[in-house]
Amino acid sequence: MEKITLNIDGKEITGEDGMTILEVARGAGIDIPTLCYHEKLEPYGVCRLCLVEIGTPPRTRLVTSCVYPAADGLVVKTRSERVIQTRKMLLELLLARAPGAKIIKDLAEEYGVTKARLRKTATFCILCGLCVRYCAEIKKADAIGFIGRGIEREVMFIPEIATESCPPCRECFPLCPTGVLESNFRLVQSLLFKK
Amino acid sequence: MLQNEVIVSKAELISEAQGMRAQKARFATATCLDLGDHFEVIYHFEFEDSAGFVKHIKVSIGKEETLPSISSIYFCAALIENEMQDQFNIKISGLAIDFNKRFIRGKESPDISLLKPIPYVLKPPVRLLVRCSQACPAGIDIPRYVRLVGIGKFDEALAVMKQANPFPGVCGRVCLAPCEEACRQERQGQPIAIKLLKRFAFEHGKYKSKVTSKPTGKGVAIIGSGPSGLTAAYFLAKKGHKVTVFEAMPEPGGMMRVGIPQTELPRDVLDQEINDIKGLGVEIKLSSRIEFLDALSSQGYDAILVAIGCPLVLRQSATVAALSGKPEMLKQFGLASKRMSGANIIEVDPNTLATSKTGIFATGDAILGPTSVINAIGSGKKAAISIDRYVGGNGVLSIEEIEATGPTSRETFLERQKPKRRPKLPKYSESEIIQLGEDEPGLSKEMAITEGQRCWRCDLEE
Amino acid sequence: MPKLKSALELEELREGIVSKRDPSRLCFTVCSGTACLAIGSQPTFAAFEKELEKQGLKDRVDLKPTGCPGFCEQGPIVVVYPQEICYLHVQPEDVAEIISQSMKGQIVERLLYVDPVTGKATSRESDIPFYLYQKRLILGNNRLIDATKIEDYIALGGYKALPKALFDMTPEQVLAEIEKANLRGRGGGGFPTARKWKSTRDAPGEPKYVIVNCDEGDPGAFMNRALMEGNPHSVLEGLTIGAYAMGSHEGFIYVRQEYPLAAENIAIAIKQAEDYGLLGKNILGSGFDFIVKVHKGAGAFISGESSALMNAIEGKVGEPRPKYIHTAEKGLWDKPSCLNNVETWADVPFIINNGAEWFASIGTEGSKGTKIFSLVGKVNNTGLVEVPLGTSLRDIIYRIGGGVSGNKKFKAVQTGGPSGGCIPEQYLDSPVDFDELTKLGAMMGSGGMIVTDEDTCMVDFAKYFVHFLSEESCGKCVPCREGISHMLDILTRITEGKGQATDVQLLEDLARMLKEASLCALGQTAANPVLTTLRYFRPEYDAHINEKRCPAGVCKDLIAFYIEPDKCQACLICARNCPVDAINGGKNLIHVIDQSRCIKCGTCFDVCPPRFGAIKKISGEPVPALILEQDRVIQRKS
Ligand SMILES: Cc1cc2nc3c(=O)[nH]c(=O)nc-3n(C[C@H](O)[C@H](O)[C@H](O)COP(=O)(O)OP(=O)(O)OC[C@H]3O[C@@H](n4cnc5c(N)ncnc54)[C@H](O)[C@@H]3O)c2cc1C
Ligand SMILES: Cc1cc2nc3c(=O)[nH]c(=O)nc-3n(C[C@H](O)[C@H](O)[C@H](O)COP(=O)(O)O)c2cc1C
Ligand code: SF4
Ligand code: SF4
Ligand code: FES
Repeated sequence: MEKITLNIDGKEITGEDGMTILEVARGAGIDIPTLCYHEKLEPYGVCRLCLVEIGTPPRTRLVTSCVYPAADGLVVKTRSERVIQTRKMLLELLLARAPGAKIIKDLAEEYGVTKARLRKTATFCILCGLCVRYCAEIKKADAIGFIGRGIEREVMFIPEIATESCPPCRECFPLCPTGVLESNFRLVQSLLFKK
Repeated sequence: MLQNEVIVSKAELISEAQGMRAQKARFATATCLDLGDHFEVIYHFEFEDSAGFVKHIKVSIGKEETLPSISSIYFCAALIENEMQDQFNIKISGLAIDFNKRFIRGKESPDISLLKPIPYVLKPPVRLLVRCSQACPAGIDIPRYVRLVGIGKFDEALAVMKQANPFPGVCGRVCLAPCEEACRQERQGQPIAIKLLKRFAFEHGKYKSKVTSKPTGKGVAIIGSGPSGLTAAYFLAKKGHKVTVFEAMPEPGGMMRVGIPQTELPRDVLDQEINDIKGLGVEIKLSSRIEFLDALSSQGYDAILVAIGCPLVLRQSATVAALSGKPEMLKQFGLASKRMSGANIIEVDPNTLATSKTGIFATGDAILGPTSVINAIGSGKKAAISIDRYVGGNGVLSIEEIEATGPTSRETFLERQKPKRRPKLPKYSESEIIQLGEDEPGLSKEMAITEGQRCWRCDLEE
Repeated sequence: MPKLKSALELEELREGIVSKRDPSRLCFTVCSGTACLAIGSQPTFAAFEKELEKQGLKDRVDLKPTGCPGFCEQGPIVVVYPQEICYLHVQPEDVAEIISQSMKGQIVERLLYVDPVTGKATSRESDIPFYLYQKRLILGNNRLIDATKIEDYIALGGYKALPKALFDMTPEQVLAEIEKANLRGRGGGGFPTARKWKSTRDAPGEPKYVIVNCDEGDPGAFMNRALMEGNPHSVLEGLTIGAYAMGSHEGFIYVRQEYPLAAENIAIAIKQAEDYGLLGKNILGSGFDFIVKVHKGAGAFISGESSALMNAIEGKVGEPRPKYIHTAEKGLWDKPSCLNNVETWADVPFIINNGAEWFASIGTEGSKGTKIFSLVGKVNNTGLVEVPLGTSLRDIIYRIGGGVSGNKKFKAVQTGGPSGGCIPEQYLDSPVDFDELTKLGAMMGSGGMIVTDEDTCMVDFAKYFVHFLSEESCGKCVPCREGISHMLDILTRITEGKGQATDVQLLEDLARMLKEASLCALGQTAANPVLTTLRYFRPEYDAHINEKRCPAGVCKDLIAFYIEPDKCQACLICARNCPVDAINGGKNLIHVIDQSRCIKCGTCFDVCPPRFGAIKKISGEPVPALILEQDRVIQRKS
């Protein structure tokens, strides 16, 4: 593996070719918030919290660090004003969707999101897809999947498979950032599975 | 309130005055206050041997009532009592000398109170609708319990909450607290820590709910033991109805039990509040999935409440039905439904929560879409009122009188409010969270009392 | 049909076809695009068949169904060649007259185009102002071709560019030519085509794919459909030339399901081209192989996004990929894949035939060639419009479009479809090209152009697009899925009169976040309609929020209808037409509207005779008090 050097928040950080910005940053102990990232899974890039600013002014842009390939000489800012403003609004959206979730509450506090300006759409699932992807990529069971498109998107256990595969496994439950997954499972189990 | 004041009834006045005499107290004078709908009369006594020690006897009487004179015990009292009779038009019986309202005034004076209404008359406090209570879907009397905590009356504070919401402990942990968003001190970014005070009162106060009405002989079946179903059960049971709750899962509580993480809502809090509800005679049948409403109707229930929560399940049930030919829950129930922001919800009359079938009502997330515990509670309460009416009740929820003492105007209270900021709580580390089984500490006694006093009492007239 | 084995054989075939055709022979053409079919061109065509049969003229004259000419509002359209006489709104009962008059060399005056201003009739199609000011490079042949006959295309010089590229040019030369022509993508972004081709060509990995994007998800846009239905070979020829330049041997044509005729015609075209050896192995004996498959996709707006489209062709869910490596390098099955819009591909044969210089002489500094727009909304002439890039909005709307319909005042034009933006009056003279539109906050998009007039509420207008996008967001990433639905929420409450003072700030914050954080261009551009309406029509937002008034009188919750007592003539017309019986009237009784029952449909407003004009639309002020019962009786002079 070829060594590469990035400038992250003013510090020279080395990593290896083929790593993402997030991997390089985390390797150096630089904290970037993530919700849909998991080291064992293919990057999915949907929560967008891991956004960082790359390039040198005036030509900079925001990219998701969990997907963007690290490259030699890349200049990265993980907490520029632009990044923070964007994360703040993202957190407002997430907070409306999963108001009680601790990880989101904590991040909101850290970023100073206090006012709830948006209507609550509390389904408690932020559709990060960790459960769906873990089940498909690691367990290859496909016991849970997405249904619906766009604003109707939801995760759903496929009863035929889930009845068999889920009770002994339960490995995806702790991955869920809001905890809604286990509750849905228990509900679906008592309501839809065979008695 | 005066120091050394005893409040007595009209009937006790004479014996109380006799007691004073026995203690060799000297009658100094009396004060009368016109409080609009009633008079407040205070007799002041002095004890000569223990220099300057004063005692007061306070009695309240209605405008039409007659006050017994104490002039048979303290003759000199006849003077002030005749004066009171002249000035206030107050009725006094048994006066040693009765000037018949002609003690101060002349013969021709009109026979009415001599006093013009004066600006500093203490009016009985008029309670205003406050933003915090209005924002609370359960309509808790927030400033009242906040103040009760402020003066150390934790049992009463808890009792006030319980009149409106059977789950103060749960709400003290996980409520989304729309009340705090509405608090007038929110503008400074320092709303009263209403939610934490709730948790505090639950942890430090004691209260046991009681059935307050006679048994009505009516039976109500509730499907689902989430917050909406149990709230309805609570208020219906208090009204004397026989309530049976059917729950598909092996434990009661709905999403409060399986949805909200244990660290956010310790399960003993939940258990304690569910036990309080069970204490009212509510029967909860666990692992009892209801598949057809007819099965319940035929068992003779007078009303059925559908509180099955979580549209996601309804939706999944619909999808499963489409995929596997399994019957869909709502179809099986035969209730009209509609789609709202991607979820299937039961259609109800917004005022009565009645579904398309007579005698069947619905509440909670099942009609609102996914919301929150407190919205489910508010909705369950509304269902209880409507069902009570439907089975022949008056639709008024039973409320116990809870002693309300303390300031009667905001001015006296405002002097006391000192701190400007919300209390800051320490943060638990990851390991503490695991060890303690909860993710945030509660308020200490000192913090709670200080915070309770910080309330502006916007409910009292300025 | 023998396969053509060389360029020479193709030329011989062409000469054969052309020589058999008599240019002076009478020919009737009937437009048969989807839109025309919808207006009823089928019965007209059938009437022609029957009538020609009846009059025994079948062998003496030609009859031809052709592609969409774009002047859809006037359809069905019949053009009689060789004089090129154009008849509009031709019904079956007109057919006999057209045939007999044409046989005599005469014209049916009543079916000609009449200028609404001068009242003068125009007989030749190309003299009609709608066409006169256009430059119909790509669309022009639609009118002359039966899409199901490759011979028609060949007769008009089709498949001339292909042998030129294959035999006279190296792939590098083809690429250089496209680069010199400065062709930019017609699918939305205006990305330089040659640069994309080069990426695909130079990217490691085999095979390489070339793809036609015919998803066309913009509401109201149909230029890609018109081309695919009317002249599919022009797209195929361009695609084959591109494949040659990039070293690709397999192509896909992605057609949305809602375009069955387009899919059918392109499939026929592929089959015919294969039969002639213009596709398949060893094309025209050049040694170059190329095959093309048609993929019918679920017609979602997001499917048009490049990575989503490729996912769909692979058989996966049609959602965008969160990749930072361009699909040109890693696309279909992670292989280099070049995706271009239908119109972009159709431009290619023109450039090869006429040379880059010729192409680059059309248009502006940064935007070359022509572009097809779909002009709709409140203009007199709606339809497909092809003009050189750089033509001003004013020319398109007023000279070609014939101005705003109903003598209303122009308000704004929305370009670029749902993720474009609206442009107000003061910028009407701006030249329409990629960079200029972007500067104004709008974009070229795939060429949608919606004209609005004074009766359009711009908040409601923005809400319409945001609503569209809320249904089209794929739902994968947080900013787009959540951001758009909150934006819709806020716009909805503003139009309902429940807007709050802080709403504009919130909209701006959401908009910025959408642009910065969304995964794909749908989300990134979703705020454009809101941002441009905010930029140019801020007072309308303020009126809704602060005064609870809708200046255009559109938002139902903010308007009321009121009958002015002194104008009402008690004619009962409004009362009879009110769908909810909210109007209380009677003979000689001034009518009044029961505001609590009124559903604000505006029927009364529309039916009240203009000479009375008694119904008033009010907004932002209270409805005047009811007149007293005793004052309601109208005293008429006898
Ligand atoms: C993960 C998660 C976290 C949450 N966090 C918070 C939070 O922090 N704060 C907050 O305020 N809210 C939170 N909520 C939301 C809150 O829990 C719900 O809004 C609330 O519980 C809804 O109450 P309910 O009574 O309507 O329904 P539920 O609580 O959903 O209860 C419905 C009950 O009905 C039962 N049931 C359904 N069908 C049948 C049947 N056919 N027969 C018998 N029983 C049946 C179910 O088993 C279930 O027990 C959270 C929700 C989830 C999922
Ligand atoms: C949401 C979305 C929808 C799109 N829809 C289309 C479409 O319908 N047709 C199209 O050609 N390009 C569409 N595009 C643009 C394509 O992603 C791609 O840029 C284009 O097809 C490339 O071709 P071009 O370079 O010829 O323009 C869309 C892009 C987005 C983000
Ligand atoms: S259930 Fe949890 S893990 Fe699964 S998508 Fe939703 S938030 Fe993510
Ligand atoms: S921006 Fe919108 S359409 Fe694009 S990936 Fe995100 S959710 Fe899907
Ligand atoms: S962690 Fe990168 S987008 Fe979610």
